[in-house]
Order: sequence, then C-alpha cells, then structure tokens
Amino acid sequence: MPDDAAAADELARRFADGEPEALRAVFDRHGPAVQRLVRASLRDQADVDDVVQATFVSAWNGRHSYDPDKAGLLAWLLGITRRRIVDLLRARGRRQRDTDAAAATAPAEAPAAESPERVVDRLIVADGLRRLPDAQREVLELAFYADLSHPQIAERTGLPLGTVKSHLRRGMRKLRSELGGVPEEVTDDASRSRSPRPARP
Amino acid sequence: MTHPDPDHLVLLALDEQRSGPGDTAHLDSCTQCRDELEALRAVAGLGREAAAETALPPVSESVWDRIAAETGQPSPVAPRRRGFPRVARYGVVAAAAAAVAIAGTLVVTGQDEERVVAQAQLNRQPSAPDGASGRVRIVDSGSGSLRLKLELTGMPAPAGLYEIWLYDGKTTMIPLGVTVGTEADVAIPPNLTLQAFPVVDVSAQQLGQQEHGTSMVQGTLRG
Repeated sequence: MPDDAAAADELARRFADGEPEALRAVFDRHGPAVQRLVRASLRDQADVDDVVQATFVSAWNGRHSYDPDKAGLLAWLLGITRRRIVDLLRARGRRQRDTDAAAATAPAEAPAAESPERVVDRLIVADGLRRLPDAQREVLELAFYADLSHPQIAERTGLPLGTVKSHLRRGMRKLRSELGGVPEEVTDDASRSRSPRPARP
Repeated sequence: MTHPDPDHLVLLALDEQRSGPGDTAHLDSCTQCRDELEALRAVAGLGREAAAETALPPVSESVWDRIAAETGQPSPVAPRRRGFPRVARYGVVAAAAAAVAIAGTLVVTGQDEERVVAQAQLNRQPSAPDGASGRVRIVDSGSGSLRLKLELTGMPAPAGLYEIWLYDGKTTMIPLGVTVGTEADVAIPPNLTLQAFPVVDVSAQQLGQQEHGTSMVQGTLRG
C-alpha cells in the first residue's frame, strides 16, 4: 500500500523518541526488508532469524543515536543489519575456522552480482517508491516495472505529457536523495545489545 | 553554457531518448550534467530491479516475540492465542494453521465464529485500473481448515476471469480458484505452508489460460 511520506517520517520520530508501540510498527514496516538483506548473506533460517532479532534489539537500544534528519530509518536499520551479519560471521569464524563457516556464509539466494550494497540500495529505492505521492509513484512504477515510455504513460494515465515528465523528474530526484542519505558509517548501540548467537553445536 | 532541460536528462536516464549531438557535446564538457545523468541512471537501474523487492515475505511472528521479550515490549497479541500450537523457535512450521495462527484475532460474523489468522491488503498493479484494490482474510472456520476470503474493489468485469494465486515471492505460484465477481471464498490446501507462500496475487486470465496471466492486485499476508 502506498503510504504517505509524512506518516513514515512521523514513525521515524516516534521510534527515535522511544514510544513503546513504535518498535512494533517499525518491525512491521521494515522487518521484511531487513530479513531480505540478511537472506542475501546467510542461508540458515535460524541464523537469519537471529540476525533480524539482533538488528531490531540493537536498533531499539541505540534509538537515541538515530537522527531522522541524517538518514532514512530503513537506511539506518540496514546499516545495523550489515554489522550484525558481520558479527555473526566473525563469531562463527572464530569457532569454526574453515569448512563450516564457509558453508554457512555461502550466499543463499545471491548470485555474485548481488552484493549487499546493491541489495541495500534496491531496498531503499523500493521503500522510497512507497513513500512518494501517489501520482509520482504510479508514473515511476509504469516506467520501471511496465517499461512504458512517457507518451505511453500519458496515454495510460490520462495525464498531460508535461505532467508525466514533471512527476518522473520529481520522483527520480526524491529517490536519488534517499540514496544519498545512506550513511557510510551508521551508529547504533551494539555494546548494549546481545550479539547474534555465535554458533550452534 | 546552457544545460539541457532537467526533464530531458531524466528521460535520457530512463533510456527513453537517445542523446543528440548537442547532448553529447554538452555532456562531454559539463561534469555537473554528466554526474547528474549518471546518478539518475543509477536510480533508474535500481528502480527497475526494485520490482523484485515489493512483495517480501513477512518476518516470522516468533522473531517478534523474541525481540519483544528482549526489549521489554508489550506483546498484546499473546493473550489472543487460543489453542493453537506455537511456532517452533526457529520457524519450522508443521502446519499451515500454525504458520498463520500466531497473531490470530477473533471475529464474530453472524452466528459463526471465525478466526482471522492472517490478512492482506491487495494493492493495484500497473495493469489494473486506478482505484483497484482488494482485501484478503485467511480464516479458520473452527475445524482447522483454512479458507481464503477475497473482496475486490474498483475492478472491471473481467474479459475472461480473475484467478487467485499464492506466491512464494520467487518462483512458485499456486492457483487457488477463480472469480468473475468481486468476492471469492476458496479453500487453502491443508498441506500448504502459508508462511512459505505469503503473497496473494489476483490475475486476469483468458478463458482456458493455464499459466499465470496479468497481475491486477497483489499483497503480502500478515498475521
């Protein structure tokens, strides 16, 4: 369902303020994307569940360090996710140097082309699309998913050509700025959170 | 130096328009526009790939339980669990009922008590008319067998028929039944794990068409 950017921003602020219901709302909204990113690196569902859990626990404990003006909530969460994946792989590596770790870390559903960075960017664009105003979202979805040209989009939607072009421009700009907001280094509060379970017997 | 119209760069990035000789000359000499075009192309590429990320399966409710326990969150759904097995800790699900019954809520309709074990809002896909949407409830009518109840809004009478599918989000789609109206009530095979097929899709089908037709509305089940 397309959702309004204002509601998403509001949720990010409620989360940063530590409102009790906000964590569940963030889990509902972004849990699938977090899980998707973990699945690009880890094959075992128990590992995936552990990293998803560790990500949300870290995020909640470190919510004070989240600055809604600096990064989108999803971008921040996915930064934490990547660190928790690394935590798990490192802990695993210390314990089971070779074969097990190699097997456990073999990309699950990921061909070589699918780097975590690419998956993160794609998830952020998908989320950014959801946050666009309806008209911009619709026009961009027709361009991206249905591969329609702008005259075809105008015909399909009944919008004037100039309007289609301006929706495309504004929508693309917003998506671009969402990507620009992906922090290189994210901060959370890992020290107060439990690391993912390092290894199973 | 006159920069190209911003709309023009966007269309170039979407590969809709070939760059003319004027563009090439300008882009060769203008770093700003070249960077802009490159950034827009990157967005366009990601946007095309993003289709794959729009119907992601939900996280297991058991993971939420663990997060809630660890962060001291209230878990208000817990008291509503009535007589359903809890999902095993690592998401190994024995039965469809268990997979979706985690956050079951109770709905009383008429004299019958039905438990809504999951639901989904179905969103319009690019081929559907404006305003098309749908709603799906997975209900357990008491015997443990699950049914999918569909309501469609804003959809035209189909040229052929509409077919309801469960989709794993990757490769497999399971047809559940058809409708030519705005409602459907179909059985879910008892051996099917809904958690593995969290996406509900309604497609327009030609009469006699076996394979999946054109997606009209789609959404992800939530417990």
